[in-house]
Amino acid sequence: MLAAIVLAVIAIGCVHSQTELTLPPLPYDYKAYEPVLSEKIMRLHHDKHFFTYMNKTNAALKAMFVDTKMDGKLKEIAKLPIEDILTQLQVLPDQYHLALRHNGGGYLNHRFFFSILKAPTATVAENKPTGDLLAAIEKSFGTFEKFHELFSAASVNLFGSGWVWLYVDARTNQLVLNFTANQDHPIMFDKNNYVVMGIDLWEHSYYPVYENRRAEYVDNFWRIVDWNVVGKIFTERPIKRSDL
Amino acid sequence: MFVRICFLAVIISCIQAQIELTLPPLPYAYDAIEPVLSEHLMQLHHDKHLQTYTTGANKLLKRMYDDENSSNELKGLTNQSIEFILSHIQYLPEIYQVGLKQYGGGYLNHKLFFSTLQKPTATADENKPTGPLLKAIEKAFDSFDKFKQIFTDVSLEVFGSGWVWLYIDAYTKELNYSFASNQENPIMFNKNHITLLGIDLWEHAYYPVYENRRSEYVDNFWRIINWPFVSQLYTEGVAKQTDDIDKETDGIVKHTGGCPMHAGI
Repeated sequence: MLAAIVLAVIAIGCVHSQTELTLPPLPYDYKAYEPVLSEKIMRLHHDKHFFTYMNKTNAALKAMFVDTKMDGKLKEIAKLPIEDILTQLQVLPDQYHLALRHNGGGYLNHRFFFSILKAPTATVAENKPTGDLLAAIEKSFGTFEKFHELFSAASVNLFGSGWVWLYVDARTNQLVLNFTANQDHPIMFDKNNYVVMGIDLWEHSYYPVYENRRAEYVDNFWRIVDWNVVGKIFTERPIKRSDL
Repeated sequence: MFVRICFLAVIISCIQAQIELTLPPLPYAYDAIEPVLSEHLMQLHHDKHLQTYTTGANKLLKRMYDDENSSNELKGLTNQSIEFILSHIQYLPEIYQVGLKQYGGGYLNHKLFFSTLQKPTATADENKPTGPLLKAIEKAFDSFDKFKQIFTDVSLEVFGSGWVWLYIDAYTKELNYSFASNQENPIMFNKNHITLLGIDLWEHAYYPVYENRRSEYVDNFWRIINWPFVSQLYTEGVAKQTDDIDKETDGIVKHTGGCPMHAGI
């Protein structure tokens, strides 16, 4: 009898289903980012946009997992963490590829974005990275001010919907600046690209506060970047072993 | 066709500078589209977004004209209508193509968009096209309701910034729909496409009223389409024979009187 129960428990424990994403709460109160980002915009951005990306990703993963026409090996991809799924989009059938690129990307990008924001400093100038991250920024861009200028220019000039990213480039192992369209994420282009900081430039990220004035949003963004968190993300990056 | 463009461009460039786009006023008051589109949204959309596209397009056209590397043909092209420039976008150097698709496209798309809107009807159902346009829609899509369903579905599927367009192909005279990303317009893909109607799906087009609720915006969009005006565009569009499109080009050449420098051509 006991053996049967044990076996049943083991059997149930081994039953896997696809990954099911959950909505992480904001690390601070919705109004903590005022006046740079209003409580209203945070509620819309987190509870509506982020929430919708999560739901649509979960729906796509579920559909993929129960799809009887799909190859068993490919289905295993649906059980992986979202970051890993997004590095393997190219092997998926079209109907899942796009749904996961859009919504899975949207989920990952927003999960990341909300984690790197904090209450605004009084001025832009007083909010800066330090230590290893600052050294790496200076190595890639000359000075922090130059990086700030380039990142801001790229953000203001990006046409349509997209993001601007600061990430460790997979090939050179240096910090680089780049943009992606829509909800694309640098890991979709190389699984070893390691994102350190980013800004959401979809109109929904700033319209309720800044309307069409994206430059004003970008200028104020520098007051809410949590460099402590970003610094930790940078420090925790996988280090390439020189003997490989 | 390209030879004709070069010829006309060479003639034009002797006389004039690049075209300068102006901000077309709204054909109605800012609050005319309430409550579907608020006065504030119309002010932002027209006075800010369309203005930015106008200024940006003009800057690019001026740069293209002033660029000492630009051929005479290219300079001549900058003096044409924005529709003409965009329908020949593939002849532009790549450095100008991207910017003109963005800002020139933005200008053209918004000019068209605002001209096809009207005061909302009480319900979506009561606002329908009639006459030849309705017949053409029924021919291409089976029924107006089917067309409406397809157009709505595609509008909800567009990811990121873009438009959904209804257009006629001047050769086949058939109606078709397409979706475009950013500020692309059907004429950028075929100069004989004639755009009749579009829905702006950039978030700025609906966010101040509908926030993230795009489907509510799309549902209400059917109340504000000016079908009589769209029908007019349709009638003019089908009447345009492809020979006429080429004749327009020749006509421009004749009216400019030519240029002594290029008498040998």
